[in-house]
Amino acid sequence: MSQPELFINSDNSIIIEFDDAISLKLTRYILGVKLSIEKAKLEGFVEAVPAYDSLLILFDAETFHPERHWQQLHSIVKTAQPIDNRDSQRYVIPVCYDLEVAPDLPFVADHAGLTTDDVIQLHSEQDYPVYMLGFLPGFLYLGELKSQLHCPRRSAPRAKIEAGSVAIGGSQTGIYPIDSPGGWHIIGKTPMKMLDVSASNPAIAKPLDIITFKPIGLEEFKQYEH
Amino acid sequence: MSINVLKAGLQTTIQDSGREGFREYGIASNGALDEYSQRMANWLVGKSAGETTLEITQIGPTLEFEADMTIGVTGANFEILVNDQPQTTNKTLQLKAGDVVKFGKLYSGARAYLAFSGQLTTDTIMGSQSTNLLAGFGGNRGLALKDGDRLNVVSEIFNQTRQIPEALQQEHHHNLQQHHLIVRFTQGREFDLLSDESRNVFLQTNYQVSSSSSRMAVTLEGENLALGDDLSMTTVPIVAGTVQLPSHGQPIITLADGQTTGGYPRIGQVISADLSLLAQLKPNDSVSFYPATIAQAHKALMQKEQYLKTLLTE
Repeated sequence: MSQPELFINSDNSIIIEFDDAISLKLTRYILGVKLSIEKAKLEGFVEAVPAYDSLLILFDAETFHPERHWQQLHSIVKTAQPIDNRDSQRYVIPVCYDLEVAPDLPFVADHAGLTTDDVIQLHSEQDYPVYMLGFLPGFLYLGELKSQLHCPRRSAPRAKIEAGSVAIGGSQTGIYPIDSPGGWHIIGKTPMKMLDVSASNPAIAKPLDIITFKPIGLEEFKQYEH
Repeated sequence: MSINVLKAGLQTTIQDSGREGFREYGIASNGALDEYSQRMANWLVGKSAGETTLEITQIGPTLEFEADMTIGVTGANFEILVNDQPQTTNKTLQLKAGDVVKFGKLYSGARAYLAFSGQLTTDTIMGSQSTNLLAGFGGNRGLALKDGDRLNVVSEIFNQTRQIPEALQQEHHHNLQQHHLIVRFTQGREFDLLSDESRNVFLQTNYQVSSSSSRMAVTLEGENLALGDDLSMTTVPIVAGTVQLPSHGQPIITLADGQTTGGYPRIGQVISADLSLLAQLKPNDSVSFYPATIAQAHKALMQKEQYLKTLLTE
C-alpha cells in the first residue's frame, strides 16, 4: 500500500486519502487505520468515517487544532496495520424476484440480452463484499456486479423506492434500507429489515462482510412480511 | 402531563444537539440546525445548550400545556400569543396549566426553537432524542408533529425570568431581516478544479435558496459553475456544511440531516461558526459565499463562543 495523504477538510475534520485502487485489501487497510485512530483517543475526536479510498476524521470544532491533529494522525497512519477478515460474516438476504415486486427486471434483462431467469441466476450466484456504508441510513456499498448486468440508471428517477427493494444502478447493486427517491432499476425485494435503530450496529452488515442473495418465491416473501 | 399539539405547523420536530458516532452506518447527526438559537432558548429555561427543544419551521404550531411550565422561544422571529395575548419573545415565559401557546405571523428567519423546563420522556435512540425524518426514528416516533399529538413531559418549573441581551437580539434580527446571508467558507478538496471563471462566479453570485431545500440540504440556484476538467470521483464522506457541485452546476450545502457520503466535487465547506445561519434561510432568500482560512474559521467560532458565554450568564 502506498502512504496515504492527509488533508485539512474543514474547520473540524481531516480527510485521509489513499492513492491505491479500490480493493478489499485497501478496505482492510483503511479499517486498520480507523481502528488505530479510534484507539488513540485524541482530544476532541468525534468519529471516523471510512469510504472506498478515504477516511474522514471528525473532531469537535472548538478543540480542533489542525496542525497538531494532522501531526498526530500522520504518525498513527504510519504504523497502522490492515485489519484481518476474522470478524467478517456472511449474510444471506432472501430476495423475491417476482415481477410483482421487481418492476424493472424485464428492462434489465432486455438491456443485457438475457432472460429474466438468467438475470436472477447471475445476480444471486455471486458473493458481494461490503466496502462501505453511506448514501442512506444502513445502505451497503457492495462489490461490483457481474458485467453482463451493468445497466445505466433510469433517466427519470422514481419519487419513491420502497424499503427492501433490490436494485441495479450502473455497475452496482444495492438494497434500499428505507423508502427513498432513486434512479436505480428495481429487480427484486427482500422482506428482511435492513435497519435496526436500537442495535449498536444499526445496519445489517459492516465493511468486509459478505452478502449473498437467495431467491425466494412470492408466497414465501409474503409470509415473511407478516 | 403532556403538551397537546392543537396545530402542528409546517414542520415541527423534536431536536437536541444530535447524535454522534453513527456516520459510518450512513446515519447523520440530525439535531437542531441552528444550534445558537437552540442554546439561547434553553438558556431562557435554565437548561444547557443542546438539550431537547422543538424546532419550528416557517409556520409554527399551536400548543396546549396541561401543567404549569416555563418556556423560551428564540430563533426566527414569530408573533407569539399565549391565550391570544401577544408576548415579548426572547424572554422566559411562565405558563399556567391549560395555557395555549400559538405561533402567529413569521416576521423574519425560518426556524425558531421552543425550549421548555420539563423533560420530554420520548425514547433516546443512538444517544439522542433528535428526530431522524429520513429513516423515521427518534423524537416523536421519527415523525414531525401532527395535529392531535401528545408529547409526554415530566413537569418542572424554572423560577427565574431571563431575557436574551438586546445586543444579541439585535445582531440576530439584523441578520434575519436581510433576506440575504453571507456565509464564510473554507476551500473544499475540489475547489481548485473549478474553472477560473467559475471560481469568480462562485464568489460573486447571490444564490437563490430553492424551494426544494430541507433539513438535509440547502439547494441553490444561480449562475452555473463548471469544473475546468472532467473528474471521476469516488464516493467520499461529507459533513454538515459541505458545499457540493452536482453535474447540473448548482451548488448544494449539506445540513444536519444530509447524506453522510457524496459523490460530487466538494467545492467548499461552510465554517462551523456560520452553519447556524443556514437554518434561517427560506426559499427565495439569497446567500453568498465569502472565503475564509481554517485559522479564521476557528477564530470566528471562538469569538462567537466567548461572546455567548459573556452574555448568557446565570
